[in-house]
Amino acid sequence: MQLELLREILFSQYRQRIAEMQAELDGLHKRIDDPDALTRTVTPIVGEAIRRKTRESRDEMVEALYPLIGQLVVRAVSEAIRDLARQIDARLRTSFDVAVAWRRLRSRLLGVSAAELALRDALPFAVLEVFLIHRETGLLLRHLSVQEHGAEENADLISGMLTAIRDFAAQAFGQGQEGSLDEIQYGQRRILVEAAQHAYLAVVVDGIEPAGYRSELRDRVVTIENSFDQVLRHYSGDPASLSNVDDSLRPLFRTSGDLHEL
Amino acid sequence: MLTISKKVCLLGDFAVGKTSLVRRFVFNIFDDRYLSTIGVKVSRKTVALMVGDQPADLTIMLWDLAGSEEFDRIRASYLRGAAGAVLVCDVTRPATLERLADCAADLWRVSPSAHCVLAANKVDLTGEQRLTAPQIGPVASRLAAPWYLTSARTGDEVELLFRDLGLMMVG
Repeated sequence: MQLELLREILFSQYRQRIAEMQAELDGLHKRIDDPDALTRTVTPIVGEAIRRKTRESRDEMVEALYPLIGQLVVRAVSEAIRDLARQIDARLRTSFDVAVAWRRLRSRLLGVSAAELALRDALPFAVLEVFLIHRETGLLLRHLSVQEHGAEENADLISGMLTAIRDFAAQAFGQGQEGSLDEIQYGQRRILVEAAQHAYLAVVVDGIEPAGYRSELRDRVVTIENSFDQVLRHYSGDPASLSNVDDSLRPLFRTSGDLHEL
Repeated sequence: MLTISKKVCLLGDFAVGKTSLVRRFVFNIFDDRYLSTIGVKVSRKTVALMVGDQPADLTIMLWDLAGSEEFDRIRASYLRGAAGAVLVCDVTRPATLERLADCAADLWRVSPSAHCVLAANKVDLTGEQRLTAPQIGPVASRLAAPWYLTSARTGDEVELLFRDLGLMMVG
């Protein structure tokens, strides 16, 4: 009895502490034993830990991840190629004999392999916008577009910046040699540029242009240059002075379907 | 409706406030980053005015040219074909006014018939103003440029400046 009382007096302060510690321990067990809870605990620091590890020992990280990433890339690329092959396959197969014979005929006439033609058909060529721009001032002369997007109101700003970029590229990379910036690639789209003395054409396209398209652009811009020589030499800023140019620009919009007009 | 477009360059020393001066008054889709990378940024200002007795919309394609030295060489290309220029100085730094004579010389070497206007900027910093009319006037008249006291913060005189430049260019 006395012993109990003694124990009570000596250990009561610790009893509280022990109860608290027991509760803490139970809590910790819950966080570790339960996988969800453990994940939630660790997740916030994993990101930072990886970042730090990568900073400190990059080679180690590469070693560890390389096999994994390598496999991922191979798989993604294989799938992409399989998709493309399937598309080409489908075109070669499901089309009737007439279409196949037609493609062979076109191939012989154009001097291009049937497979390449099939590839071009799978990646259709489309002209999206045509800009005719005054070289010296960067002012927009004419703008034609297939789409109804808001680019209409920005076309003159785009013309100005494109001109500035061409000037910059000529300065930075030209080194006094002949040549100019004549193609810009942006994602799937490309901007083809053909320049004459006072004006240049910038054409926004999707896909691969057919053989001869570039020459056609060149001929077109040279013809415009010659027809409007005086206007372009001292351009006053009034685009109405070139209004019938649109007729010669419209044919530049082509899709690969056009070739059937052969 | 008659529509005319003209190229106008915005010139002046580093940090005179060219870019912020026009920001509110122009239509802009490009990032300021272009100024420090290729040394130029193009925006657009529309001014309604009369050409003779015809109402017209003048579209000013505004080429804001970076003032820093590193773009000295390329600047000549950017100045080509300019019908006009806005020369900007900072009234708290007299040296920026002297620089404008060089800017105009560079401009006229490439575009001899460009009309100029002069903007003496940052007049809202009244305590720090060190340039006054008797100093600005003579420089401006040597450049055949009407001049304006401007502030990017209050917008004083900016619309007027562009309208007057517009009239000079189409007149």
